[in-house]
Amino acid sequence: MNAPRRPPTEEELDQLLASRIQDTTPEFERRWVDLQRDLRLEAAAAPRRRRWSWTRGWGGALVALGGLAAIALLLTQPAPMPSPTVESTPQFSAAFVELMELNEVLDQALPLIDAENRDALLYLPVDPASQS
Amino acid sequence: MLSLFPFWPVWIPRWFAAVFDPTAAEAEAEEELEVAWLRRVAAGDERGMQPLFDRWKLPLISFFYRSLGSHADAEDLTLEVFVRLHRAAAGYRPQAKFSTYLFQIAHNLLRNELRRRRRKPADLVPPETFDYAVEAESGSGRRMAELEEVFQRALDRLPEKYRTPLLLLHQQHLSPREAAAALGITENSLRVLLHRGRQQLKTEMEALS
Repeated sequence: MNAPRRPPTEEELDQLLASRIQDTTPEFERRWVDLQRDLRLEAAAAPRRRRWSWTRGWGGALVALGGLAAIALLLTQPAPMPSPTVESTPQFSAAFVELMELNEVLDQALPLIDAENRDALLYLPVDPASQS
Repeated sequence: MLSLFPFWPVWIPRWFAAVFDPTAAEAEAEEELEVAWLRRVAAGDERGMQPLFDRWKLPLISFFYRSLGSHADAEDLTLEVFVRLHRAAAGYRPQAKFSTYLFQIAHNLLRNELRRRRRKPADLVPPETFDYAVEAESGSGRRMAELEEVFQRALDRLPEKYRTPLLLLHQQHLSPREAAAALGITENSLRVLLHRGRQQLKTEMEALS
């Protein structure tokens, strides 16, 4: 190494820092051509990344909002009206209400009049004193 | 009144720039062109890579050569920058200048390389390779050639944190703001690194002279 006789001035230092290589080698250019071919093949093989589209983006957001609104509507809907029952329908007469209650009680006794009990019921002695 | 000039915020500064600072206007136009080329690449038109390569190959080789002191490694890393750029084209958003984006990639690659490599023998190029050689007939050119080897060896001794800011500003002509963005540091930190780096570089050159 031939050392320079004196250190660089500020201006020379700036010039050295700013200096650039002037040209590339033919080998480097050949490698670039090969690399470009590889990059083309890579791009053709890879699925293209979808770019952000405002219309597509907003469309998706609107669909999502619509879905959320539908779910909220379903959740906040008022409970269905209860079916009319004897208790909630005071417009029926007292006798009809009594009949309905009697029906409910007797309904539980329905198995008693199965076929096997029917003959026994037919031949029960009638007690005239029980008639009112 | 404003509705008569719906595009005034865009065209008025451009008109002023074109009239009063034509260099800045040219740089801005070139910047837009580079972004347009990269968008073409992102859209699948591979021809956009060639003008980007032609524009940036020498700045990148020069940057990597000064950083590593090896011409072969500088060529390898330059090609790798274009591979990374190609792969990142679809995701590129022009939030910063294209050159800032490019040197962010270059800086990351350089740091990876410095972390990976053991001490390699220097692969220095002769002074005729540099652009100052066109002035070789003058005293200035001869003097630069004389200083070249000492300068490169002094740069090799400089820590990367000092060397890269010096190169981005002086060799790549990035503004302090752009260089700070490329390095991911504040402008104040950059000023400190530049000052210390320059002092250390001079000391190293004096020691080697």
